[in-house]
Amino acid sequence: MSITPIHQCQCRGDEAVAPNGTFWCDAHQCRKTQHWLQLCREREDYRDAWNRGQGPGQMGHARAAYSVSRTHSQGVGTELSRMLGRCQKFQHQQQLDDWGVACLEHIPEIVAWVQEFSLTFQDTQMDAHTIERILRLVVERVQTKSQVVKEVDDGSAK
Amino acid sequence: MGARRRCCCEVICWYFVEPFDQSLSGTTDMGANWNEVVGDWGVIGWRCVEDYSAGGSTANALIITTQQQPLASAGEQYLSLDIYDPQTGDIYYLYPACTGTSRKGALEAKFECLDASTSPQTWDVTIGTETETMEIVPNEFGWVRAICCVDHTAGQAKAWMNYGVIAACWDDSADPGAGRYSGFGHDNSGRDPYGIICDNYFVGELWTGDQICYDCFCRCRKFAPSRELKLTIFGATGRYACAGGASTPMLWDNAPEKQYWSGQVQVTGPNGRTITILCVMHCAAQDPAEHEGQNFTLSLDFVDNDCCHMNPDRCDGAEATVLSTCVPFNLVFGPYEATGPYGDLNCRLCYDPLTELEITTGEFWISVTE
Repeated sequence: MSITPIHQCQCRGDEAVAPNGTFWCDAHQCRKTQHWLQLCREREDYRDAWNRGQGPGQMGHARAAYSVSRTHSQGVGTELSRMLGRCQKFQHQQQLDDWGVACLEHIPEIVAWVQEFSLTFQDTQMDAHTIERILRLVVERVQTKSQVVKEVDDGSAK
Repeated sequence: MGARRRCCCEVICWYFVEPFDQSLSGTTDMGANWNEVVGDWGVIGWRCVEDYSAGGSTANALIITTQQQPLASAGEQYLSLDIYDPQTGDIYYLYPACTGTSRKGALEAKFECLDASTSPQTWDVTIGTETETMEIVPNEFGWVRAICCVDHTAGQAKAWMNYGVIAACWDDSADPGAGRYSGFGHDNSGRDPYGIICDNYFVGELWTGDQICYDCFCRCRKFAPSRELKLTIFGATGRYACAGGASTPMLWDNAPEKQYWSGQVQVTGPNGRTITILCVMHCAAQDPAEHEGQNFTLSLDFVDNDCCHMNPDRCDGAEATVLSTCVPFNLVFGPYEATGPYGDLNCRLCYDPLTELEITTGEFWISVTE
């Protein structure tokens, strides 16, 4: 099987070399050390990460990813799943994350999902009223956390 | 209300404990849980002994348990054995990841008592290619404990002794193989009346699919980083611009009071000024579910010059950010942002504030990789 370029590290290692030995990798748009060049050449998992823009030193994506993932980790589905217990991932977690606060428009649907999910860890379905209360509590928490993140981000941008 | 179902992640970690409390005294039968491969093993007074009938002891005595761990965790074991009244010259072994009830695995943990006449006693502990000399104090009843753990997935092995002592002999490139059995042994040269006496054999999984068991490796999710890592400063701007690309090996400090990786980054600015940043990374025993690498924290200290006029919460043991990944292993810490007075002489690292008036801010990030 022939090796296509994507399976090789695209950095040459001699581009814009700095006195401390680092160089600018055009392909991955970051400055790399000789050790990182070695990882890029010898380790497929590291090379894939750089090709995805998520490798060591890739600052262009760092801030955006940092902000997005912080927000993402506070999704309604994620929080609800945590509250229900981390043993099993709540099947509809992503849908609730996508809906966000707007999930309150889908309460009957969500209640049915949680009732079904509750049978994986207890013998009887959770009470619908309890589920709705939990959901509203989760939404309130997510809103509060999002506000804090926004304030921090606004502050650091100044 | 009916009985609650056990949730998926509450799978009990597999383990096997042998307290040697069977009523087998006076026989050579160790019971169905054991296979006496070499030597004459038995149980006397709720203790395991070897060559008790003839006195002395058998060379290279070996016993392997018939209990095998689940296939999913093959080659990933934690073993321990209590040893009574060790004497100078005693050599004990733990055999992890044995491939059968009569076959040892690829690795063995060796515990050699160099001097039992003093307190603490002196032992050499060996696993893989690593040997550490340890000072061991027996408990009040004369017992010491030998411990080892191996990880076939990570290709690592550790061995150490005694209760609560975490200094370990650590070979981070030693593959024990995928054996599911375990055992222990000794190679004494003439003890009497009972050869060796030991007790409380334990073997257990390091983890199951969802649960960390009795582990002894620092983990980023399931990945176990090695004892030597690499720290690199990146994304450096403004007052810290010249620090970008600076890197240092992070080495595991193998002492009871130093269970962490550490390294020193030296950064020399264009003005000829050099500062040294001491970096210390700790690892909590379990990786929380929030994000990968969250159980790693990094502390920074500027040696000689207190140049840490930056967000102090980051300097003092901040956890890895959500940018971190375990595979590939890339812990990301930061941003470290300049917050202190620009006129601080110690902070004239990359620029001279008297000539570069406009550069008043700056930041950098840190990456820790294999």
